[in-house]
Amino acid sequence: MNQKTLNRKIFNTTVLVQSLLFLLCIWGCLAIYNSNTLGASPLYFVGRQLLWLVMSMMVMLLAQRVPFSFYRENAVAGAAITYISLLAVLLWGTQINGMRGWFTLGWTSASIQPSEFAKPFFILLLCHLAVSGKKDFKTFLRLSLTTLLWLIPILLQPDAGTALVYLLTFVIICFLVGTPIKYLLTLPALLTPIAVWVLYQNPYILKRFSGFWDPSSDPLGSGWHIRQFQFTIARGGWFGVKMGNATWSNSYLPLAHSDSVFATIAESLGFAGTLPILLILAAVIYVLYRLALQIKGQYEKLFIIGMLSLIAVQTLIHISVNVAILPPTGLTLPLLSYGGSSLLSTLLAFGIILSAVNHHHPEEGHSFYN
Amino acid sequence: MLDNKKFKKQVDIVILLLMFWAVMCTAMFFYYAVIAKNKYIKLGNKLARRELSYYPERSKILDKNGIVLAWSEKYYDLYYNNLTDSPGQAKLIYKRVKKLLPETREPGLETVHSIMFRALQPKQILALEKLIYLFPELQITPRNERKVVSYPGIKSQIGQVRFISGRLVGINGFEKLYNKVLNGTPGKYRIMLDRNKNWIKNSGQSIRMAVPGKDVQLELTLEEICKRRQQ
Repeated sequence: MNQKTLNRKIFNTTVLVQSLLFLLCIWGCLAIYNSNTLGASPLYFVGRQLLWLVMSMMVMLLAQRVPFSFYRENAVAGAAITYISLLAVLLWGTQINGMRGWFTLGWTSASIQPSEFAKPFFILLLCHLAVSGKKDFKTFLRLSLTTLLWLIPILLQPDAGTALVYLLTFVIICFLVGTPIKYLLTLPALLTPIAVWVLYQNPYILKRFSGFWDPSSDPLGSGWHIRQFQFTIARGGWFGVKMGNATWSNSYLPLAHSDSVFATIAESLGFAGTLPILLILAAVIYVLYRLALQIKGQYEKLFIIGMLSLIAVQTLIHISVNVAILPPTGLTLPLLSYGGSSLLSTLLAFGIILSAVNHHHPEEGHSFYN
Repeated sequence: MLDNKKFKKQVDIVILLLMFWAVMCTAMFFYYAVIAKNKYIKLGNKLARRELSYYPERSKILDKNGIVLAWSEKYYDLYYNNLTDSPGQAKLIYKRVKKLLPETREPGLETVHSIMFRALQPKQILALEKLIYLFPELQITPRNERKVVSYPGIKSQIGQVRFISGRLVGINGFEKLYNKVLNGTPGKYRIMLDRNKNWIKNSGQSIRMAVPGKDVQLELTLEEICKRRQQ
């Protein structure tokens, strides 16, 4: 592929990705509005989300213009700052829905969630460690210990859903860099004591599992959420109930505008209306995956694929919980759920991905913006 | 260092695994939304929807000159439902309610329902809205009371009413004689209940409108009714 063709391809992909991301975010705003139409102030959440969207789009556009070398050189510093914020939130954070994971900005009523902002920096750090090391046990151990250290403050919040996203992304990155399978197989042995400790500290997780296994045994208790997801999606059917008429989402779903937004969309738009949204999200991820493979820089390539995997894993966990194939866990649907931190961090991640695509040429290190 | 060919292969495997996961999600989504739709809608309705009757206000009894002899008045009372059997919770709720209604009574834990405040004013009901949302133990219940004009001997002629299945029913006197006309026809509506059996705001759906009863005008004056009693 010659220089011009590649530049045009990159430009077209960038514009396409930006437009699709914006479209998905607007779709998310509609879903958020729809989940609150019967509430006292239906415009409250969607109004805030629109403000976050404007800010996040600007952050994405800005982040993609910064040369990727900047992110690469400052990966460790960025990760250290975000890690400190993960520790600080345990001491000075605000507890929301039983989780100490937010900083409340005193002069506004807004909250920010460090574990969301930490995602791109975690991937940058893992890529830094993976690319610079050899394919030996030492590198694997370094990656494992870094992930473990990262997970401790998140599990202490406690936020098992986000921890699972980080863990699965770590496994994917290890697999991508060619870590021998025998090393990866040692992970369950390493993780079992941690899992036992987490379950011991948070007995609610076991309850969620029992409710997930047999929701009819305790339909008003541990099986409640699973049941409500099933009822809500069933009400959506093929084409959904009318917009603004999502009674079940408004009344029964836990956090219908964030952790259950997929089921909210399913009730409003039905199977036929929800599938295109998912296909668009999948298309964005797939296009960037494919583009990443054409880049020569290993660090950039690994970062793009690692970050996209994290977003894909989070999306799939969210949907799996909403279609009742995983026990309930509080996780947002990237780009579509309510939450300023989630939206800002996802678009920041896309900004860094686009920077990696734009500022790296397969042969000469040419920047698209030069 | 990454081997490009191997890396591409690993990426393909990751994409395949993620796609497999996505297909599983879509299949389950299709199952709930299309294949098992009716089963889950039925189950959901069974768990959440209730059909309830509501009764129109019992009409008035008037004498020949149009003087109102008997009428109904509606009051709203605040109750504490002992859901948790926890004295700490009862105390906390009592403390929070007392801030808004200083004359409130402390709830007892011996009974399932205990009255905390009688005859709430509209302003007090609005002030309690947040507490009722926070504490499912609190419940506001409407109460109808039948009043009779204050005149010597009139009460026994008008008759008495009693609450039977949630509505006022005349058990003697004119109240019994004109019971059907005074009560009208009850209405029916469907509501949705949350996991604590509280009504979900804005979930009410009318099935049949209630038809209010008619006022009954007697052919005797107030004095004649009392005289008839003395005879």
